Amino acid sequence: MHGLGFKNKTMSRLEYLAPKKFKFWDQVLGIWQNAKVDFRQRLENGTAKQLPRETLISKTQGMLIVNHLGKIRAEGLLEDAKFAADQALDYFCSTWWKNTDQNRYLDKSLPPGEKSLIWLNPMRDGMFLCALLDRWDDVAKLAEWIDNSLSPENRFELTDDAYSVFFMYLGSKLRSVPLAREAEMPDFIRKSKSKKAKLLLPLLDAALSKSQKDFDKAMVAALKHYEKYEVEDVANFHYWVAIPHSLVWLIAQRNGLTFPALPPNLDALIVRRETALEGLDMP
Amino acid sequence: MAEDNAAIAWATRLAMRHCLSQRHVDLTWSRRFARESIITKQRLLTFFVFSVDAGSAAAAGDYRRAIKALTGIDADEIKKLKSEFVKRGLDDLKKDSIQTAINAAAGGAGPLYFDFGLPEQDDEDHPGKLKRGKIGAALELVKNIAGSAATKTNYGQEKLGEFGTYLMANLLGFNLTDMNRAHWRYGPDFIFRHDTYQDFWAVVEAKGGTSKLKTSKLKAPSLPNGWDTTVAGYGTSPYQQMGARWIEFWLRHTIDKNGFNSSGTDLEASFNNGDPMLAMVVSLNLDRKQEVKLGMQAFIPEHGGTGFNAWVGF
Repeated sequence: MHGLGFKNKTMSRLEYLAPKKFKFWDQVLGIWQNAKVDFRQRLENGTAKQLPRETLISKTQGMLIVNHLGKIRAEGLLEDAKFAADQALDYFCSTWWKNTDQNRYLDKSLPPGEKSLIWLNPMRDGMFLCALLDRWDDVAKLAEWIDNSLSPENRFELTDDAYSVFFMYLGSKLRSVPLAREAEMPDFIRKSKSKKAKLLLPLLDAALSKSQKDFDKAMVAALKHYEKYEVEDVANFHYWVAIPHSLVWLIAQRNGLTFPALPPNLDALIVRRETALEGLDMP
Repeated sequence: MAEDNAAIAWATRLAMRHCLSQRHVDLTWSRRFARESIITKQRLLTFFVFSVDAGSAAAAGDYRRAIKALTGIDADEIKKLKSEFVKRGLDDLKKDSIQTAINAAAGGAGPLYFDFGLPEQDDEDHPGKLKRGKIGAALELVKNIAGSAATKTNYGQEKLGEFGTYLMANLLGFNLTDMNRAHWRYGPDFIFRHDTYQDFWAVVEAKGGTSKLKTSKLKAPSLPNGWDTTVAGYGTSPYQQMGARWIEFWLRHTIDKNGFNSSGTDLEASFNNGDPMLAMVVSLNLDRKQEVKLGMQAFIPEHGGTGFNAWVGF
């Protein structure tokens, strides 16, 4: 703790992340319960469209992050996490959207002007949930959805195509057959303006090549940038932590790497199996 | 002089409310505002104090009540502004009446436009003549505090447009919520919620001076051949600023950033239920005629679903 200016004090992960403006703690469990009930009703009556599906995955992940922060442990969270992982698989791997007005969000075969694919966040969160639960076969199934017909998601002014391409690259590495354009992707990311994607790339490469030294170095560099420029104090917890980096850590862990020694402020950003599932029955 | 001081106080407090609406202390715009101005030391100091006051105020307020308090209950100018809405059938500001008025005005096919000047007042020093009203004078003073050069840029004009937008949205019965903005720089300027009809939301873009909605594509990234080239740009009509896809993207982003805030989940419920929303562009031009232009359009779900219909841009 010395050197960080927090003498003689054991700080929690939550305190390191210091969300100053979030003032809705008393609403969190209620919002979570309502979201679960609402989604199951929508599933039953056939109105579970794109946004409710994405939201359920995101909010379940949010509750796991809250557990990681040591703030709230929701009852039955492990079962809910498994259910959300199932829904992530369903989102991408079934055809619930066929013959509905929702097809433009997921039908890759539509012409560019007719589709508005929404895949980036559900893919990131779905892969993370499955990896967290050690369901690597399901991660591979999600990665199969990332095929050669996929393009970066249209994010309007945010223009973070390189971030989309990073997940296409990650998917390519995890699927049975690499994408045809995999070799072009690192260059595209390196030449982009997205430092987030640029720093994630060596982290993933180190995790895949099982290079502990490179992984440790890349993790510190990526998290320092992420903490400074990407973390946001908003009313959704996945903006407080580094989910893409946490996903890459789970891949590294599977490849036999050990968790790097990080300063506590950076350590708090990585949601891990032993923190997110702490106190829950481990799968 | 006393009137000037009152107007400065009015404008500063209005600006303070504006800054608080950003949901975080964002002085970036004020720095940029200042940088773009040809500013004297005195003006810089005044503007700095103005910015710090605005940014450091403690709590967000009730804008509708604030504006009423600042301008006086049932002030003539407010009445005159309201009368512009009444003329177009918007006196009963239920969502149905707004939709009906929009459809009636545009044959159901296009947006409803308003175009009127800020109210003027009798000039007591020059009988028979009119002078700028309190609202116009206050906005003019904001412009002068910042330095007139700043207001010649679209960015500066837009900031002034946002002050005016508050007023218009409040007159229509809307207020801000405690939601986080989707992005500190991009996206619609405001997402308002109706005071009385809580499931009625408005997505509002402020335009200052002569600036227009963005329609051109952003600089296309050098994507490898074979990937869609329609990404990362406004492209055709639904993808332009305040186009259906653009609004939908930013609504989703707002909902995501407010996933554990009750206002955010209420907006999400309205989105999922396909509640009609109001899309509005407010343009304020202080340089010439002190005029206000409003374009309003209902933003309704398609096929009874959650996607929203494309609508005519401005």
